[in-house]
Amino acid sequence: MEKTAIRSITIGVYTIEMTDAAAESDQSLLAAYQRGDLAGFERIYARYAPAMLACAIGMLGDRAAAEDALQQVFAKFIKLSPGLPANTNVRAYLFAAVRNSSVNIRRTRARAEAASAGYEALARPRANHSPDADAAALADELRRELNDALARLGDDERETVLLRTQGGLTFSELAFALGVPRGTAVTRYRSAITKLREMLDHEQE
Amino acid sequence: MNRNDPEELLRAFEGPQPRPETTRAIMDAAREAIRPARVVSPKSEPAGGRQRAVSVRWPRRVLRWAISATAASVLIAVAAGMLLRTFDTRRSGDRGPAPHPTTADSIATVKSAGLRRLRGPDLLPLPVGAPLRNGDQLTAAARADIAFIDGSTVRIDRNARLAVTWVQPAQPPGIQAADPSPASSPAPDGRPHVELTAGRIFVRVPPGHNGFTVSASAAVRVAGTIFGVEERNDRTAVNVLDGRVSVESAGTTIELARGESGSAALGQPPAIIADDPDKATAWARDPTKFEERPIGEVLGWLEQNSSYRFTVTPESLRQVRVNLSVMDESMQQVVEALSLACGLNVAIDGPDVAITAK
Repeated sequence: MEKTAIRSITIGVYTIEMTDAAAESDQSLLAAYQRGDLAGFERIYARYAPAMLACAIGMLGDRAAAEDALQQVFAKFIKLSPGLPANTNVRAYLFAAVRNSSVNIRRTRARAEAASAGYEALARPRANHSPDADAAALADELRRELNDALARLGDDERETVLLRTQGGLTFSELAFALGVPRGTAVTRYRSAITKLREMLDHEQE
Repeated sequence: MNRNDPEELLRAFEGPQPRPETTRAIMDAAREAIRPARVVSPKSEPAGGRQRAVSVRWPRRVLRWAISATAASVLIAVAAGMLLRTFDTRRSGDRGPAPHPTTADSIATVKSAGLRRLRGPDLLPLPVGAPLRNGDQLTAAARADIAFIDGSTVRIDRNARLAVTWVQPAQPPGIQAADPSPASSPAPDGRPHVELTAGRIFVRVPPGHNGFTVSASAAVRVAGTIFGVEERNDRTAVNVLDGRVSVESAGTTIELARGESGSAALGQPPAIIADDPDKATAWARDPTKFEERPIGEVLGWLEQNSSYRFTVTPESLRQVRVNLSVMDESMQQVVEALSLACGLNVAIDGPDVAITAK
């Protein structure tokens, strides 16, 4: 993910640069692509594809299906991009689209298939780092716990949490992506975070 | 590590990189879609083979004249721009900038409150009269209406999500028509297009229109005037109250006539279904009350809001006065209620209703 280095936090040995993909920057990249500059599209893709894939995996529980969803979303984005207005909220568009695409795929396949799948939505620490072996093992354990906890959430809660934390959507954007009122999106997100906290506390004990 | 803050922890990890083959396929598609920025036409070479370089030397007097003329044009353009700006400012007076300026690229207008537009990071409430532009993404907090510049109107059910675009007339027919590239500015002979992500819409297209298309799980192309589309659970349902509507999915197209309904699941061919279009579109109707009104007036309203067509024999019966209140009943229920209310013989045969004296 492209770094605009808004702030950084430290967890254990990792210093993580929190990135904030600025909307105006997205718009300039979209404009570049509309002018025929492939680099504009490549940067949008690099910026959002891993987070979109994380959301799709979280919703589908299946890496291959999630990659299909990602491909569908970008195929549509490419097709529509020449006519998208200059002030399009690219991030909201892409994450709403990946949510819709995932929901479509989820509904068309057998529920049993989804239930048997895992939810390895989170793959690696976000920042550049060079952790020692112990710290890496610790981070990997934490990542597994997080993935397990996510898997135990309801579908609605899991997609809400992933769209917000991985996609970086605002609550208004989240509400649009989920097709619910803003208040519902906030409540659902808070409820999911509370459940995750309880699960992680329980793991710790 | 701080386990007490799941939000922080979740943000500390990221998703996997897409597989190389996925990235490759997407990049190929992106590259393919780029139109060449500059079209270079092949130069015709002179018969002698290599092209001869030709230099033109302009007389100094001509050059001076050209520079003066250019400078004068620029000055005039700047002055005209400032004048127009002043005029524009005067027109808007002290009111400040209008929140939703009407611009030439407006493709539709909001007709009732309840719509929200995703703009930047926010969902902005749209007031009545606000213009909509190509690609606007909308969601309805309450049932709301919009009207396109060709006079087509769309009633949007609560919680429906959609995007509106205006399609250039050059769009080829067939499947491309249902998944169009939106136009940058609305050509008067273009047509409206709605991309329906979820929920229900009810569309009225005026006579003499250039067409109207809807894309959802299935693509809907309209040759008719009044129809409803619902996108739910990956399935598109189309209900036709008047005119003809073609529904296209998985390479198969079916035609729906007045009073018919069709349905298509994502990736499946469409099929005609035994769904009552009047019942399916009842949500879009306004509650209506007739008090001591001629039955002819009631039948006219029914014909506008249902797939029923009425014949009255003799015609003088149209003057019989009735009381009727319609909330969210199906049109069949309304017609049945009418038969009781008017004290006449009402024979229903599919969409055709014959009213005769007892």
